[in-house]
Amino acid sequence: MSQDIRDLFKSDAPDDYLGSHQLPENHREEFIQKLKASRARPQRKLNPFYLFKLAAMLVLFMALAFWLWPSATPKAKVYVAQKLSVEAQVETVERQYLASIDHEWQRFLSLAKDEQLVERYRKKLKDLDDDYQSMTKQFKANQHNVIVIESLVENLQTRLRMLKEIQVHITILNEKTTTDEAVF
Amino acid sequence: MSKHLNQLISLSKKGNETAMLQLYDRYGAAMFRIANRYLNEEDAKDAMQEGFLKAFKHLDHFEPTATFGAWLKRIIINQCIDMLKKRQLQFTEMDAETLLVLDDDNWKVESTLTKKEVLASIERLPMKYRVVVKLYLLEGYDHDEISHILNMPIQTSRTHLRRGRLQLQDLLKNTYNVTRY
Repeated sequence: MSQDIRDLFKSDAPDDYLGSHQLPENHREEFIQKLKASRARPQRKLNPFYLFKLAAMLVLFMALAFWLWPSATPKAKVYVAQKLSVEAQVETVERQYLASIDHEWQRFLSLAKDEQLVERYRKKLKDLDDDYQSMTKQFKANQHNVIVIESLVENLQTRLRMLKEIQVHITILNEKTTTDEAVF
Repeated sequence: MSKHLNQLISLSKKGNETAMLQLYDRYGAAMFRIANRYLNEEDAKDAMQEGFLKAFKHLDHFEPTATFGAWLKRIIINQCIDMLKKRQLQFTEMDAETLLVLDDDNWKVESTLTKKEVLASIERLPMKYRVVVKLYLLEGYDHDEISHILNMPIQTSRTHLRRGRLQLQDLLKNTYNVTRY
């Protein structure tokens, strides 16, 4: 009696022969790293916060430029006013972001059912806030440093983005239907 | 395709990393098993992940006429083959014996042989034949697809498959002591 080898492979499930290969435990984290690296400059939609940041940076730049050229600001009064304005700008930006972050955090709390997840994000936010506080000290010590100002804004943006992303994730999970497409 | 899958694909096209991760979670394990047919576990994982990154990069090329799984599988297999090629495996090596293959499409073996035994013998074939035989038998690709995947002329793919098949039948005969038909 003979059989056609091809028939052996036609009907059976595709993966019943090479043993059960399991992905290593850390494969997901590794993939996330690779994904982030491959998308180092992701195309994001131009969101209002980005525009807001741009506008704020522009104002700051002009303010600093004005302040750093003493000949252009002969009067001490203007000098002080400009100085105040740098701090005021940063504070405004900060206030806006913190309000948004708080709003997103509340939304996240109402969405998330997983205590561990909430704790993990609480910790992440706390770490970012600690960084922020130390950067604020640097900023107060030297308000000319644009890099510090940028880092401050970046820190706030990271928190906001993190909260938004996890919410999208939770929403998709909640919507997930049971009808999955077969691979084969 | 399910609505949810469509949604994930469309979000991924827009660059949503969360949706990409969901696709990875959904297909990763299956694609990893496919990659394991060609590579060891470590390389299979890398090829699978690189394949996903390529797929996400070229998601605009995905036509809903094929299933997403089949499209992804093709990319992962290409990635595996690329990795094999990096190991200097020559698929296109031709020798004087390249001949116009007569249509002796005889895949008959002893009926008592099991799939497991056949697979064990496939693993013992020389690499260049093994890959073609796997693409044909396990993945179900035809010569046209195989020649594209391996970037070789169809004739070479036919020749490799023919030699692979003959060697496989001999191996099965010698190992399990049964006659080739």
